[in-house]
Amino acid sequence: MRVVEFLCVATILIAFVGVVLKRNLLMKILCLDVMTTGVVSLFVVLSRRFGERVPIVSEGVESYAHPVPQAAIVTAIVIGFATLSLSVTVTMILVQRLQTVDTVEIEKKARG
Amino acid sequence: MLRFYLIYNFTLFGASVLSLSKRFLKPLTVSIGFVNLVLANYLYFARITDRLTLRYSFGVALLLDSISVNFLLMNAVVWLAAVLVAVRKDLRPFYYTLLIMFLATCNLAFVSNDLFNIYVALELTALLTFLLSFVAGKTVQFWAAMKYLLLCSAAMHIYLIGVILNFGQKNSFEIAGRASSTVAVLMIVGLLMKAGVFFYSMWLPDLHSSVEPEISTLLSGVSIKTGVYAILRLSTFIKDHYSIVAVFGILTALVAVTFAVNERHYKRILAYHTLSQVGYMLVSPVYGAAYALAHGVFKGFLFLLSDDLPTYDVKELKKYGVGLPKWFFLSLASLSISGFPFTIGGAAKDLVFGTLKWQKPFMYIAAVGTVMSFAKFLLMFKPKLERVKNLPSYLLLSFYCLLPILGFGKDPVKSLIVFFVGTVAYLLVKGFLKPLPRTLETLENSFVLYVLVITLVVLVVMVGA
Repeated sequence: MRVVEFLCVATILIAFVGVVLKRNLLMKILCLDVMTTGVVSLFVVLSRRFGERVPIVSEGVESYAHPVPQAAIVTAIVIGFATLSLSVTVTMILVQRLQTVDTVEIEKKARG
Repeated sequence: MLRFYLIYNFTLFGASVLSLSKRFLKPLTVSIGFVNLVLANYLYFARITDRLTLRYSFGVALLLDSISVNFLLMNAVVWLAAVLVAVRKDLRPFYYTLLIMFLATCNLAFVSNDLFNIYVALELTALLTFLLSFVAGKTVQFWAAMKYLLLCSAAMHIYLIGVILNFGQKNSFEIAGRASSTVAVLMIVGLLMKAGVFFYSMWLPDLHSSVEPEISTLLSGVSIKTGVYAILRLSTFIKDHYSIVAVFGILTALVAVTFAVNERHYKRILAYHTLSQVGYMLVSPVYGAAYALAHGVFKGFLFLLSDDLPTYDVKELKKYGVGLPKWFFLSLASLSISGFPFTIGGAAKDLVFGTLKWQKPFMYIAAVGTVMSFAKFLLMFKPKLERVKNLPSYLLLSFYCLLPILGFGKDPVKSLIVFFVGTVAYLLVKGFLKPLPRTLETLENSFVLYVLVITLVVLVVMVGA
């Protein structure tokens, strides 16, 4: 199962590189969302270390996946969604005013 | 007590959402501020400690102790002072709703005591800070807030990886025992971004200097302290690697103060000083909370005063001069941040310096730098009478500046020597000071810088292990 965990970490790292290197503001926000997805999947996959089955009591099953990280990560999904929607809204306003999504140009124009 | 406190804060959330009529909302906001101040004072002076744990849970807990009460009192004082200014302005009702939510969120952030709760509280304050910072709708504010949100959410994701790795090892979100190296590094690099440390939080000077005065009071006084609180709360958990935090504390104190001494824009000076002062809180985990309280009071005071100044350019300001009641407040806040004896800043600085060992000489240099950049405000006195706009807030903050809640300071002579040396140094070098470039503060550069510091920290830990 370790392979899937490493894949999740790789997703997070690739997305982080995207956040750092992409100059397009929308791409940055998108990469940030991919990063959230990576973290969420890491939580879900890691809870499987404790057992294989869905955490609902059923006969003949001894090892359950840990329900707590899966329950907790719902909050992080919501926060990720809020961050995404708010930042896209502000990007819309910035693009309306400055006519560009390039971060370097926005930086120049915003400082005036 | 904590059960009551939880219900109280949820009531605040409810009140903020339900009352959208403008006429009703302003008095409500102010009265909430006073009630909260009384409550925070009670918690502080009665030294109440309490613990609340969720049943069957995996370490999810709230904790009220000597660290929390300092932060709670700071939150109450700064929030009330900012709100007394905000209600005088004619803004949309939604703005006051956000302000009340901000208070409740920070109250809860300062009592949270497990890894996941800290994450949720920090992200909530980040979102509220983001929304509050562009109330006036200027393009600069939108862009500064955007930078803040992008950098902070990326950093908090890194923190979250640390949380789940720790859960995999210990089967709990509890802050107990010692973290493994990987977990500690991930948490440190995540939280330092929120706490306002030079090389990490390069969004800070732009954001804190461009937003409205009362909002920058809240951001500098309370918002960044959520990150500081998290680090102080985790200080025993990450004890094996706390020296990384301490080293960055010293670096931020020294580098940011250099930028501040050279700066000429009033609010940017204050923003750089926020970066520098966070260093004092981080080097001494024992008295960091007390210093945070003092910093909230005097930095909030200085940021609020920017509302009353005719211009932000320090050179222009010198020409205008500062009239009497204003000069009194400005010099009281400046003396307090410079660590003058018998002010809250002086007492807090003495407490912090008392616990330092090898860090002491560096921090003394930083203290001299602080005096250097605030000496100029003391010399701006002009014998004239001026009207002040926000008198109630100033009186509240002056009261807490002079109230000896942290004692009187142990070593007034040393503080006076630092003060004297700083003033003389300022008079000597004042002709050579020029604002330093802002290249590090663009979004691209701050991200690259962040990656560089992460790499550096990882390398240091790997070599050390």
